[in-house]
Amino acid sequence: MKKDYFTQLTRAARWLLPPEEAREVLAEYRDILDAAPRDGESLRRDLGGPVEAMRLVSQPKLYHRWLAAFAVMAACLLLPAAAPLPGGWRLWGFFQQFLYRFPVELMLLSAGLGVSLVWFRRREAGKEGPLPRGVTPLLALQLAGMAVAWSVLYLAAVQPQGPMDFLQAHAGLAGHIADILLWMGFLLSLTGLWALVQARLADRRWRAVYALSLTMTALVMAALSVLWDMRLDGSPADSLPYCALLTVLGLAGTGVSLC
Amino acid sequence: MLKKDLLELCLLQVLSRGDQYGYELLRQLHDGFPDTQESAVYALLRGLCRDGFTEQYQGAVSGGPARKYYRLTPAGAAKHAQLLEAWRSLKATLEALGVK
Repeated sequence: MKKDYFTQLTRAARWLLPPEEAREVLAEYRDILDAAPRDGESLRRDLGGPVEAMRLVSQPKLYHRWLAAFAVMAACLLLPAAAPLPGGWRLWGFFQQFLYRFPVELMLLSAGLGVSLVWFRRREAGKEGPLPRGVTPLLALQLAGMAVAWSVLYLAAVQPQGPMDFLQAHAGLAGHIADILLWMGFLLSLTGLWALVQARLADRRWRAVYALSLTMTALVMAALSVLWDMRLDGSPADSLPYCALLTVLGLAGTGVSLC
Repeated sequence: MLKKDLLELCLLQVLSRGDQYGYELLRQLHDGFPDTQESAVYALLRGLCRDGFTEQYQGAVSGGPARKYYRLTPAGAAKHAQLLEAWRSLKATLEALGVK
């Protein structure tokens, strides 16, 4: 019972408080819980619910700052990834309309990476423990998603007749390529969002999964732009350097995120 | 004088008598104010520390693990005096109104 209470308290503290303050508060609460053994019901009666207890200690200004950072990071990931959902394309199109001269995927990737690298930077010296279990498999999953996106880009780029002709020539498969990319991007972005929450609650190195998910989402949207490019004077190969830039930036950000 | 001020006065009063271990502080106040949860008292204690009225230090207990102790700072002593004055004023007002 005490263990359950402390587990809930830990999660609440890590969400509501800055990391250093959460550590201090949890250490003190551990002393309080150890000083006088109590059952679960007595704990809740004397200390209140775990979330309420941590809310009392939290500072609204700092908490709102975290919520704002979280909203920015989540928006950078979900804005493009939500395209397959009802209204998702309209939202993406609306957003692109105002920024049509700018590389939107690159902007979102840079913003998300920048905020996550700054927010989850290492604040104390010393060696961190082993990488949390689950980070490596999820990174592998995101890399697989990026490989799919790059495969589509490569196929579109090497076709001599251009992407629209390629799609028409392979109508059966091509009709599903866009859907596959969209849904893959959406589902993998959910793991990125989950990893962002874990970066706050558990280990900051979960941000690496978020970074790679962000990269994969940006790449998917860039790949779709290539597939649906109606320009007669352009070539899909023109977009490859841009996609390569997204990939390199994202992989670099992921590498830094693991440190 | 709000209940929050009253609790802060009590915390500072206890600390003015000597440094205290965190849990002991909570227990004393919870015994005096049983309807107030220990987490609320802890939040006030933490607030006092954050505002510089108290400070923490790691103290050792013989034969046991190191514990976190609280002590009053000079700013805390001034705050204590201010709250005590407010309490005495409130008490005088209540007595003048016949509240005993």
